[in-house]
Amino acid sequence: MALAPPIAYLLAPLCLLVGSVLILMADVTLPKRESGSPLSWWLALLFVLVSGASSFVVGRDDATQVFAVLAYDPFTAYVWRLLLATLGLVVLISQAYISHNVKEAGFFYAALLLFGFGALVLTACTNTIMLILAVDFLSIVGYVLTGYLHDDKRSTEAALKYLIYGSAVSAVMAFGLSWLYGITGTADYELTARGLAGEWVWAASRTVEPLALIPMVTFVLAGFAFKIGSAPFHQWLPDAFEGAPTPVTASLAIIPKVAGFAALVRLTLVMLPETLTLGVWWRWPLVAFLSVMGMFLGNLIGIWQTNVKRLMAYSGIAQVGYALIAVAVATERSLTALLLYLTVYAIAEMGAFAAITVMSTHARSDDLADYRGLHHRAPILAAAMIISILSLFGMPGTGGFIGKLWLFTAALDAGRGWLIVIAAVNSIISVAYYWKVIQATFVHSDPEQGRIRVPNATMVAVTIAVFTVLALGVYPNVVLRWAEAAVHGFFQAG
Amino acid sequence: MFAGQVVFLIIACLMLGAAVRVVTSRRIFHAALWLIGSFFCVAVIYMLLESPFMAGIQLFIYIGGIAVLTVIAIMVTKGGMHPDSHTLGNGWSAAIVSISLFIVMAWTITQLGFPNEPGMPVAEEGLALLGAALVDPGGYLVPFEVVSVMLMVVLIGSLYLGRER
Repeated sequence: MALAPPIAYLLAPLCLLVGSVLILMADVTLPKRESGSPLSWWLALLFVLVSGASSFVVGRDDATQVFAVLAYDPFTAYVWRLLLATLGLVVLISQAYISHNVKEAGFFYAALLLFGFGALVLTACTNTIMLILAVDFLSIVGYVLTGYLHDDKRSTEAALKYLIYGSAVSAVMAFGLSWLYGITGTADYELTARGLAGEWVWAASRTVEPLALIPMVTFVLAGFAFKIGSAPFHQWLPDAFEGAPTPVTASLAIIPKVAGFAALVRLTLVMLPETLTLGVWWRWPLVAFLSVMGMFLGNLIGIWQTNVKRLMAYSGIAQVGYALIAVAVATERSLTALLLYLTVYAIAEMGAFAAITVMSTHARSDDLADYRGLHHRAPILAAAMIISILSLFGMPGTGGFIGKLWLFTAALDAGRGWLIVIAAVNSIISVAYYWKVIQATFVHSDPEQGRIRVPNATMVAVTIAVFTVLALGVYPNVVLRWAEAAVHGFFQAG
Repeated sequence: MFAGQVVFLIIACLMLGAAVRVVTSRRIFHAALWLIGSFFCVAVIYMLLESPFMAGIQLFIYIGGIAVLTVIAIMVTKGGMHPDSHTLGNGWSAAIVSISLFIVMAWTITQLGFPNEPGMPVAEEGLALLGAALVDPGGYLVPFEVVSVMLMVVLIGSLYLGRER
């Protein structure tokens, strides 16, 4: 199999990088347009599309190490396309909100593309130094985006909380990884695994008590838990979700989580394989504990929320809990299910956040009470909201059902039935707050309120999201086959 | 070896003393100055470990960069120079976290049993190798470039967020 030159595999992230620089330059040099969509928005959309297209230039089946610290393989390709699709939808729903609320749109879109760039790099990491860097990159762009409404005190406060929490956790993660580096003398995932197995790179005959490293891998896991927004490292998340500009909330709910999961899966399979005692401990109890915590905390606290963005934050924490089951099990089947689950999650969240963005542009509030009678005022948005929420709950007929079904059966195959019991109990608890959203949008109505105009770009995003969620519920086979091919590479060699 | 151990013990005690003063100083400005003292002792320990490059980095980045930045940040912050601006609100919980971290680390170090001899031979041109690794496509070229993009983001982002309006 002929491989392309290494730089060709990085076309997708490079396109985003070039796009963001061009947007910045155009923003400074070109005169501002008075009406219509700003040029920076068109540029952002164009470069996300180009980036997405460029990911099809190199072969999907290629698997190679790029510049020693990144891996391009079917898994990377799958997650990149998912991330780029999400990023494109975020750009689509941003347009009306940003021109309504922010004067300097240029830097916003540049930062959004850089956010995507960080996520793509994080997905492909095979080196702990690169991992730390990518996690920090994504966080730093996240802080800027969260605080973007700098006239709004809540936005600044959210960014500050995110910043302080994020710096502390990434320091802890770097500390944990530095121990692994100090012991094995390498930052590469695969060499680290060999070092931990006793095949030392530099000291010929040494044995390390694997249990002694458990505190250190716990620190590493804390970093991941922060990035994917898992309990008990979730305290920043509801505040950041509430204060951030709504399109940023949408991207925070999806992009770091998907990229973080991809990085977590790669680290779990390559650096801490099941053959190591440490790897066994990593899956159970460490990841399994995070999973259970996420499900219970997310769902139980979610019940009390009255702000839609906070509610979505807790719903996201619970969703991450379900998805972590797949990492705790870490079989070929469960990781296929994970990719399918993340895909459905991303698209459903986009559908919901498209509606929430329009509402927070229009009503300037994210209170659930303001969603009353949405089915009269904007039927499309109400439909998108309902379908997305039902998919997040896992209603048969939507993609969410297929995602959960695969996830649960894969865990059952691996003999982790008790995790499924917990997940099922939590699915029932989650009805309590998902029902609140449905009730607000559908049941009550308020004839006083006028109709809401849905911007064209948002309409496109909503249509794509809703169609995809429903299509995945009926015919998931195509995506499932891609996901199977993406995960297969990890289990071929070993 | 004995002299080295004595010097190490003295420096370690100085470092710990400075670190304790960082958290107990009533004035945050004093805390920042003690932090410089603590960083300096770390640099001396690198010298003892025969790693002049790390010692230099420690001086340049931690004292020359981070500590000076901290001092300036305190000086330009409103009320930063006042004595009671630094209150020990969560003293006890912070102590519990630090002590448990210390116990975990001490336990880990005893479990791991680091070898007495240096495991990896020190290369003659260590610095040149380090420089080459940073720009080697088979080394750390990509992280190096990503850092440069990250610095750009930090610059523009902080300019945007910190602007007067």
